[in-house]
Amino acid sequence: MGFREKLAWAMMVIMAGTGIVYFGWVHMQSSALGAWAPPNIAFVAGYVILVIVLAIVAGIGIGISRPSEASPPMDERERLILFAGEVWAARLLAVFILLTLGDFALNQNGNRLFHLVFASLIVSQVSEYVFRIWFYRKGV
Amino acid sequence: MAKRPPITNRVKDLRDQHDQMSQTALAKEIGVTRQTVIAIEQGKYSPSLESAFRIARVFGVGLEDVFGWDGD
Repeated sequence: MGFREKLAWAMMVIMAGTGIVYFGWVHMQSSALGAWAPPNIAFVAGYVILVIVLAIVAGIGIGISRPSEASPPMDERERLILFAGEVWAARLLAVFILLTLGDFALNQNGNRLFHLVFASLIVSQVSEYVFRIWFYRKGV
Repeated sequence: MAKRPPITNRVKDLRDQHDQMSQTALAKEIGVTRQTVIAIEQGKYSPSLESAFRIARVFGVGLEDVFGWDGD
């Protein structure tokens, strides 16, 4: 397994794990309030910082394990995999955003809209790594 | 998605014929990662025309001695 495939696995786990923590918090807050919790910018910022720190740690950790594979630029296959992953994730994001807009049109709940859009972004990002891993394994 | 291309190749055979050239050495010669050479050999990835020419030149053969068409 190459450096970038390992990184894709790590990022998928990081995004999924932190996403679960984030929405666990949203669920907890919403349960306590009895309604969708309003967006908490401090918590969102904390989430973003946590993802960035974990991504850097994962990149350094994987790079240290095989330094020779970490330094070269992406080759033609890796660029294609990156592009294909982004395209499929963008399609998925578009579907989620449309569903979220439909939900807002029916429920008119701004807090819920915020959380659903944020969830769409996280799920789309996780899916990008899943697609990349799929293309690394099955071919592109 | 990820449909296997109808292109065959003899990269592994040619490596074996060239003093058991390693995948890493071939990858370095053509400017790709070892994983890409593995994907080419397994038929999971069709290289660009430039890389195909580079592979053929490494082995000193023509393009059609390395790659073949296995479709309609």
